[in-house]
Amino acid sequence: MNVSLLFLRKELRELRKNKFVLPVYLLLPPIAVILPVVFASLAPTIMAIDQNDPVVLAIHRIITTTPEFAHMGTDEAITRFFLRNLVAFYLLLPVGLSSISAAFSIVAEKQQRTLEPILATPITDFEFLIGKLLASLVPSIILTWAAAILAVVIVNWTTWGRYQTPLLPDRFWAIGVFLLAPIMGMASVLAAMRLSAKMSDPQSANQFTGLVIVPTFMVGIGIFGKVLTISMTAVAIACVVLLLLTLFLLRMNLKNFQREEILTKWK
Amino acid sequence: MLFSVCGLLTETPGFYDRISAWENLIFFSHLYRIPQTVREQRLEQHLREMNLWERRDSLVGTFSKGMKQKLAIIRAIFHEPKVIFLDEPTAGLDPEASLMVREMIIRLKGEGRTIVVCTHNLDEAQRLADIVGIINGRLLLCDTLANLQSGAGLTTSIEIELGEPLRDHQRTAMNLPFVKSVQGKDRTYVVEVENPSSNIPGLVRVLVDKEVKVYAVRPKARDLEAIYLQCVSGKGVGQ
Repeated sequence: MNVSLLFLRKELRELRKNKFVLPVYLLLPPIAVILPVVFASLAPTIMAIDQNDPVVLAIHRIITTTPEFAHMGTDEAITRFFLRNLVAFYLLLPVGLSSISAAFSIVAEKQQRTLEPILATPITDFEFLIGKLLASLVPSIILTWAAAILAVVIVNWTTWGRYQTPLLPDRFWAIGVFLLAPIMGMASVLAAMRLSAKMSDPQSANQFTGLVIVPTFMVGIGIFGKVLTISMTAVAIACVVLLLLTLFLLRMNLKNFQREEILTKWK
Repeated sequence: MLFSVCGLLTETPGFYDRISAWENLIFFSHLYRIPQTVREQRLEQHLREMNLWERRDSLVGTFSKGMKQKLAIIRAIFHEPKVIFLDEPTAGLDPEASLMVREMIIRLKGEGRTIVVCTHNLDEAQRLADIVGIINGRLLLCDTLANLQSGAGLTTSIEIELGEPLRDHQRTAMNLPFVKSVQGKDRTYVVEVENPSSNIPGLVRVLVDKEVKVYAVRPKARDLEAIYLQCVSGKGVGQ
């Protein structure tokens, strides 16, 4: 078996009994399924409560000026608008899931004293770091995609009677979920791993991830999220920039991974 | 790669507590690239030797320190390394398991493997080692056990049996640079000398020249503890 996949298999077996990480894995994906279903059902009703609310007026303005929504009925356009904006949640889902797992991964190896025996094996630094990356990333991506697919099915099933057309996935949503989200997850895992290597206990690694990495990505999505639901060029630029960031972080992780020091100087 | 021919037993036997002993060993056996054809058979053999076969499916988190230590020993040797580093191999083990580990080390040594044991248990070192290094912040001494016991590089005591008690001028003649002390009366004396293997003949020659009848010269056998204590106290560290 490929050494990198070996870490994934081991991490999946451990995950079942990990009280730090498992609750997050069990909590967030169901929310990612429920949110679009709720919005798909209630968006027109929410918008109708106060027609003069500045936010409602702003949304109406966007809908009427976006050519894609121009030929649609108001309810359908509003619903599609809300659903498209929910892609932000799917971008944050792998960030949240995988970075918590990644933050835990290296610091837990330290705490359990398993890092020294691992580094005493013929495994290369690259194999180890890629193994750790995959072990944190793959479960979160699978859960994100599974939640997204389930949401698509339920949303289309519950709204078919109203619009006679599938609302999901639209192209921004699909690219966001299936391309941008994994890249973002990868960048967050590598950032978390870099920080995790400097921590000494899982709690502080978890807290650091929760207070720094996830909020950083949230702010990023808050700033650039709107343009990512309007412009395909912006989506492409975001993919390229995040890929470059991922490569930079991988290089930083490899450069700063002091194998010999861990083996000879650890107390 | 160097790592593939080395085995390491770390001071703390680090394992994944939330998975079983078997899964832990399988994980590490993959990392050591043990061929699939022999992997499970070899693990079973080692687990049976260590009396852990019945507990192979238990979570490592439920294991005692001694059981984890045994598991860590298996991990250090299951890829059949040429050089094995063992840090306190019998720490936490009961006397029976300690004996088994010592026998295993002797067996591995007999197979031609180089074994480096780091231990505070001097009795264990004396029983197992061919070459002993004494470290106290730095390497103070490194030699074969036989040389250390005979006093190479250190001062050591010898017992000299004479035909009659030493006279004053004969005793004065023993004030040689390498003689640290002379104690005794009647016909038996204990003399502390530096580098006895090279200096005893000179001492005997001086005594014979002064017409002392030397009946016997016997080195006083020393255990590793005495050598260690002498070495770290800084007395008579010749090398």
